Amino acid sequence: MAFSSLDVMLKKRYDLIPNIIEVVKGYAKHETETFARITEIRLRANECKNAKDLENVSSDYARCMSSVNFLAEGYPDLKASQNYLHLQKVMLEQEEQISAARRTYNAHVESFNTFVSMFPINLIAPAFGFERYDYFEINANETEVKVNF
Amino acid sequence: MEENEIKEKEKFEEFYSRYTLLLDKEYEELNKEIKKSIIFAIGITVILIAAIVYLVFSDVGKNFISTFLTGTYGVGIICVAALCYVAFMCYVVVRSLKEKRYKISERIITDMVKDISEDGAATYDYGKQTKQSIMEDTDLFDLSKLKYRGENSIIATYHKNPMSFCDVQFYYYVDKESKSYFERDGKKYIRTKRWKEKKNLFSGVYLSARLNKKIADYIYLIPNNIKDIYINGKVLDYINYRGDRLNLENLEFSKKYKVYSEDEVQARYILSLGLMEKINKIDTILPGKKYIVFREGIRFAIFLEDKKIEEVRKCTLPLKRNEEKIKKDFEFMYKEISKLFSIYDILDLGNDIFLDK
Repeated sequence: MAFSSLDVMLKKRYDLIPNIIEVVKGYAKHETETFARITEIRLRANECKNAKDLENVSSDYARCMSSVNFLAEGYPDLKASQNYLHLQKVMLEQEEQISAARRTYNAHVESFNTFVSMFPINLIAPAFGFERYDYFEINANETEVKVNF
Repeated sequence: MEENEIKEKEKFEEFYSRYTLLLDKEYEELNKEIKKSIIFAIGITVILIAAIVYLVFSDVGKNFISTFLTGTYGVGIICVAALCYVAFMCYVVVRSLKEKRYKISERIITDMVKDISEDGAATYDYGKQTKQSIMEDTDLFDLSKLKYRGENSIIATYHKNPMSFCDVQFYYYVDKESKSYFERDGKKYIRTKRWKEKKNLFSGVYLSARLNKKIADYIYLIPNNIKDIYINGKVLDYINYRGDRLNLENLEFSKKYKVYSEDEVQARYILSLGLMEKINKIDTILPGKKYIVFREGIRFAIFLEDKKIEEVRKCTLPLKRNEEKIKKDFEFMYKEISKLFSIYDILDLGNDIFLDK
């Protein structure tokens, strides 16, 4: 349940990618390499099966978005455009929702992991295939996706 | 925080220096009221004395005095009647002056609210009952079983955020019964006494403001330290079946509040780590128990226990002008009202990122 809501929120985030490309393309037509990288992340996001996959895609997305932000620095018209500003607001809200979903997922993982490591559950849990789940974490150097204003 | 205090102090000084000029007018009005009340008391006394003198010299009066008011007994009655009359007149004069001073206080509070919120259209309505539908919207207390009273409302737009405050009280009656045994004519009887006792569930200030995040349902924050089991049950029984209790990451916050919501992800979206810190900070300015409701739409409400706008109104102008006392009272009033508005600053409601949708 917690994983599915995290997955939904992340999907929503990646669904914004075409909008990002469309807005940025209008001002920075020649940055094809960046666009290709973002599109690829979206395709990879659709194939994620567990928290570890989502975590990897999320880190790549964070890196990619910082290069988009860096790119926008070179196009003042883009930074000032209403569409771009609106998109940033939407993305910021999206990031907050993802953060909430991540916290929910991690809280559930924590209580589940505590449950399966308690005696006597820890003796029988492996026999039934109950194992500790991984937390959905953000790398310290990437933290949250930065959305500039 | 210190910077805010200095700013607030400066704002108050500016307000006070501006208002001292208006105080002349208020005192003029107050003096007029004093004169009016004294003239009224003297007038009534003169009329009464004239009526007594007339009666004393009339046949009816002479008969009455010779029959009822003779000797020490008569003198005693006259003295008691005179004392009662003086006390009654004093009460009438004091009461009318008190009313006038309250009216002036209300004007001062309105001006303070306007000054603090910088909203010329801000209002303060003393005595006006707050609609029950507003409380039903928050859905924190079960109004089908509880009684509600709301008054002293302040409505103002503070930094473009429509905020409203009022004194509220939620209470209920408990049926009480006592039995006593007695004997009469050798027979034993039981005397049963039944009465209703008023129990206060909540008494404090209700504050409502616009939130900068959209919410689809309700999130309830109930104080963790309600010691009264009966009250605890009354509140929690109503909240429990409409959401699960959540454990959030901030330990200080979790010590203070129990969080209930049907949608955990949404609750964590609204109660971000930052907002939990900010809610903790409210205690530095407004200590005491707080019930917080994030409700459908983009509004939230806080119920601050043991706080009353009524207390501010009780600071009335002294009858004899005393600048030191007036300034002290004004500062108290200004500070108390500012504290309510400061919730906007603490919770950073000026951040309007999500309001344009």
